[in-house]
Amino acid sequence: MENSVSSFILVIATLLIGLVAIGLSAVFASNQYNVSTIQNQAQNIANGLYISVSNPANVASGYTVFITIKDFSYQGQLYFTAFYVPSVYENDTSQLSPNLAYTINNEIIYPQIKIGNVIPSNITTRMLYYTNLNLMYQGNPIVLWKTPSLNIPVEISLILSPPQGYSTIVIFFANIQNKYVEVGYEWI
Amino acid sequence: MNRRKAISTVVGILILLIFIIMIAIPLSTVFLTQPTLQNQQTENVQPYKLIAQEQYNDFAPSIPEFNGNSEPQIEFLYSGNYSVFFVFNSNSTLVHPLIVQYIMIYNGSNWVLFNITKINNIYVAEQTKQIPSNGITITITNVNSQYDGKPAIEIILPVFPYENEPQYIAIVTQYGNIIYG
Repeated sequence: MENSVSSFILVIATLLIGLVAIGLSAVFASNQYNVSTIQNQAQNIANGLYISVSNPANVASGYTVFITIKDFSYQGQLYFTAFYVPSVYENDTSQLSPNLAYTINNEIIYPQIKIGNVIPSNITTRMLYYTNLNLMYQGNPIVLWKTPSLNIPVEISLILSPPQGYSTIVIFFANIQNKYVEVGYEWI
Repeated sequence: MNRRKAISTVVGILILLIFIIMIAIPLSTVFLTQPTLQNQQTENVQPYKLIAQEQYNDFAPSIPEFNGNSEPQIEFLYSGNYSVFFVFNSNSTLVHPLIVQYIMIYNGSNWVLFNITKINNIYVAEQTKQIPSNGITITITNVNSQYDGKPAIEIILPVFPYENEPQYIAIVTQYGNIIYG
């Protein structure tokens, strides 16, 4: 009798351990699956992104260009930000983030931006992610402008006045599950 | 008594085995299938980008010379006087279909976007406040003018580009390619 009770307890314990293990792995797996879904979506958008940049034309405060963006695997809207970065980083884009942006009194200086002759609506966010979902930026709110749907090539014109030794970078983000994930960038 | 104990141990181990399988199979699918999907998507998109790149070739002189003719298939020219022309150098259809989404003109302080509308048989560029969704299709079948004796499509402009220079006038195609006057 003693023996059967102890082996019954053993089976119950095995059951409990199994349930706990399956619960933990389910939580881990669903989290992992979620991350890789976001990564895949961002990677997919990034692969399809096709950016063209116009010749620069001089203006009083610097110069102006327009860029056109088209995505062969995504028809929705994208977000983008543009700022000035020391030109040396053009050779090393691995650490690219708004942390490198040119600031005056801790305020990031943005170029003047228009889409189709009008100033586009913008939002601010405190968190940005790279395509692999590593954190790109966390801190003071950064401005993101919203593009129209990409079912037609979208034109963005920029009036740039980078300080000496700085280049302009435009970084594109997709909003995937409320995360702003990088899908491409373009040096100007 | 002894027999009962043996069965319960076997049952316990079997249950454990089932749990191990239940955990291992979903985990392996999560880890093993995702990269394959991603690779497929990369391959799917690549031809489209290539086609988009190749569109520039229609505007470039062909090298080597084909049939003694090195002229580009189509040319985009600024007349210098309130109009631009798409000039067809051959009667064959374009290798890549050409849709002009809009015209960009630099006016000395800004690149300004112009929509193209068709009034009767005349194409007119108009300044617009949003990115136009319909472009115009450029084919040999809808020519409406001539340039230097060659069939051409003419678009009337409301303004001059800065310093009347052709480099300050550009079209944007359906792929977002930029082609200057």
